Amino acid sequence: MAENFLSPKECLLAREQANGKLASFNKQNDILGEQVFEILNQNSRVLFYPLEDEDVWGFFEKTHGQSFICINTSIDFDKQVFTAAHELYHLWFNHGQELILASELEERSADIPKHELKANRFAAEFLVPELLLRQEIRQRKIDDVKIDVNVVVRLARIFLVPYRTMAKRLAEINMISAAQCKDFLAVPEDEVSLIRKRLGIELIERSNKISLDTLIDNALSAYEQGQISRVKLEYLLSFANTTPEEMGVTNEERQSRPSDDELDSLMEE
Amino acid sequence: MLTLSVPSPILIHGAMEAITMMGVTFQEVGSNIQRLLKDKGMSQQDLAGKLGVSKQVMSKIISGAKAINVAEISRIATTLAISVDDLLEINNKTDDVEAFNFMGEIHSEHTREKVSHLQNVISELLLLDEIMEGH
Repeated sequence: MAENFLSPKECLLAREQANGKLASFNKQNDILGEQVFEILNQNSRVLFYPLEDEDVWGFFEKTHGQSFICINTSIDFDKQVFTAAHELYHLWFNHGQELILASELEERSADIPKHELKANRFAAEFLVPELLLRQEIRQRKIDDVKIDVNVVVRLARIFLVPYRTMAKRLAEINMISAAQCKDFLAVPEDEVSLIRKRLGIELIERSNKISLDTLIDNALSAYEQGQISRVKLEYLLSFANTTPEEMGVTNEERQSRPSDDELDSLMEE
Repeated sequence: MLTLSVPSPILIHGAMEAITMMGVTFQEVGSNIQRLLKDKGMSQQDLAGKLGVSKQVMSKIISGAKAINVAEISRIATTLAISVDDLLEINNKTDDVEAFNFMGEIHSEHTREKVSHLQNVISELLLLDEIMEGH
């Protein structure tokens, strides 16, 4: 969208920031794809949870000196990848608490805050570095005139980014004109899905996965050490839709251990 | 000296599971102690020392895994120079994770509930960190 404008200087900075970070993780020559979650995990505590809302892609909360990022796992997988890269920008370059809205990541309106535009540009540079994109295009023997909607869909699938991100990215590196980009962006989501189906490159299924950082591990450890009751353990595991039994904790196991009072008196000695 | 200013009856069950005292769980009392320690810049060990209990017992009290009686609550209150009411106060959240400022931006009630659920998860993660740090 022409209204959402970053200056050439700001674009260059986003590119330098992305390349610098890719280099620091030794990932310049690789399509990043879902490895972005690994990088996110190394930099923040991450919660994966199905929010069942197409408009909220996640949130970022800083509390008690720690960063928590939630990724909505009920949205398309390529959008989850993009959300992770977008949030890395906020983590590394612009801290704050925020809700991650589809309207801002997809730049659906003309009044997107500047730092969101920067985060989007960073994410695009991080996930789709120009060199790698040109390399893919060369390998597939696609020249500029041949770039049609099918090519955009294919390239988006290769880099695991949303179709719209790829359309914009091709314009950013001048592989397509602004007018072509506008036409690609105007293709409705349903049509893009149909093209994917037709080409046999459907998206990875929406995982709806629940993964809550160290919750299960620490809850089980705390229980094993007698620090929390079974009721508390059940409560904590219920957040992750699981039970002590499912995690291999039986009632007998706990009974065979010394009681808490016995443990207390042992500790006192 | 007991200076209870709470309405009776106070019910305390010896059992570890689902222990409540006027609807206040020991876990909530533990969270309150943790918050008040933080406010006063004291460590769990400082309090354990003053009460004459082991670090392990203190950690259990804070995690809500140990039943404590009225006399103990009163001693803790006296040691921390606070009222028993402060210890029995019910917080809506298990920890003091500040309200998510962006909550108002969420239009769907269903999503707000889910985000608030995750806010609880974050509180519990922080509480578990404290428990694990104690060991």
